[in-house]
Amino acid sequence: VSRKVVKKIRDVLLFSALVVFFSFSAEKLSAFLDSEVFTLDQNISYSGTLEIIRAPLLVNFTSIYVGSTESFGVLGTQEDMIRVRNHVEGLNEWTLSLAPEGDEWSDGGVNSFKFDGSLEEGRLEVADLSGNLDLIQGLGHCSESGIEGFGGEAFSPSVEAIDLVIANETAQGLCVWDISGIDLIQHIPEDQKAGVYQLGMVLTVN
Amino acid sequence: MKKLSYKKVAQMLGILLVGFFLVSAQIIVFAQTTAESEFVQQIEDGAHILQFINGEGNPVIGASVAFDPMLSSPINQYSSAVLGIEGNLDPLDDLIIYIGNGSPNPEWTVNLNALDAVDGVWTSASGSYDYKDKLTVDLTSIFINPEPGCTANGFNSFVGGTFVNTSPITLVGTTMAADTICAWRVTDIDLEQIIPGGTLGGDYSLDMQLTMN
Repeated sequence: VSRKVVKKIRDVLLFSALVVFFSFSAEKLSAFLDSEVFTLDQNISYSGTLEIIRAPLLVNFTSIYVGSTESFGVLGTQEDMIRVRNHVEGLNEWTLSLAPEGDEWSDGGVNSFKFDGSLEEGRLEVADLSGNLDLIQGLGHCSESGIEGFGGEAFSPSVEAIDLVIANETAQGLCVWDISGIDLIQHIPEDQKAGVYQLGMVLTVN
Repeated sequence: MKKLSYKKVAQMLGILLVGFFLVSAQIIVFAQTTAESEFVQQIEDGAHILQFINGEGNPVIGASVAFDPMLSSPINQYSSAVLGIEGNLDPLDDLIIYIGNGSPNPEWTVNLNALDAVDGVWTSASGSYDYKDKLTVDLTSIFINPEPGCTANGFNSFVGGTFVNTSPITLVGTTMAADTICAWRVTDIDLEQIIPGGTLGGDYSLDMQLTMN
């Protein structure tokens, strides 16, 4: 009897195995896929910095004849602007300022004149930028609200940097602005010799 | 501890024995019937396989395709990604579209669309933006690699396009000249999107669906 039982059990197990096998087969068949879902990912972040991301490399002042005492330049144009990006979360206030990098206007040789002297020695002035509505342009959704032009100063031994634009606490954060049309006036000594003079300047935002 | 009386033990053994014989009886009864079984082999017409696999040939569950990370910008900007990449140093980094046609019908197409083609948008914790009119599929570089024994004969040429409404974009499709009972690995589908200016920083995602029919 016990041998019979063992045989029956074996048969049942075999049958069960077949059932299981075909169950798996059926499952595999139903697992055939004719579609696949997946995800596209796009990370957009903030740089976490306040920076000038572009600025004019060269500002050409008007050519003048010997004997003339004023020359004019424009820092930033519609095509070649200063672009400030504030990507610091929680920061709204910043200041864009202009300062000299060199000591004097120089022709690369012996001739030079000052940017921070008297009118006769040479003086560089930044025009009054307040009320200049075209000065600041927020890009895209960025507003110009809370950002104002300053200037209205001349370089001197006591004025080593001039604020051009100031964003106050009401300015929009995490945005980008273009700044252009900063009028500059350079007073030149009357007896200055002819030449091509250059002066290095630096823009800073902080 | 309470000692079990012989009577109790005898009762428990009796229950176990009864249980054993009941089970045995069931097996015996079951085994005594004729075990007729009908073998069923279902061969579905049009059985397709469409799935992501890695470079080792194993299915990739929950695949994702990352666009270039971007900085938030107030103006529109472009970012790109590649759907289907093979040949990474680590084959587990590969993501290959594996297409199998187990059907005698050689004609099939694989389409791409948003999982929710009606209301789907790129979403993140900080905001969302639409993919329509912004997400483009460029099939210029698509690579169709037949599995051994198969060819790339009979494949139609598609160019891709920009998602503009709820319509999908066809990535791959075959004619009557294509092989049957074959499989192909598809890679190098270029994706490009315009991120609208002013989109806030965040990790955006958009669920997509490949469909073979």
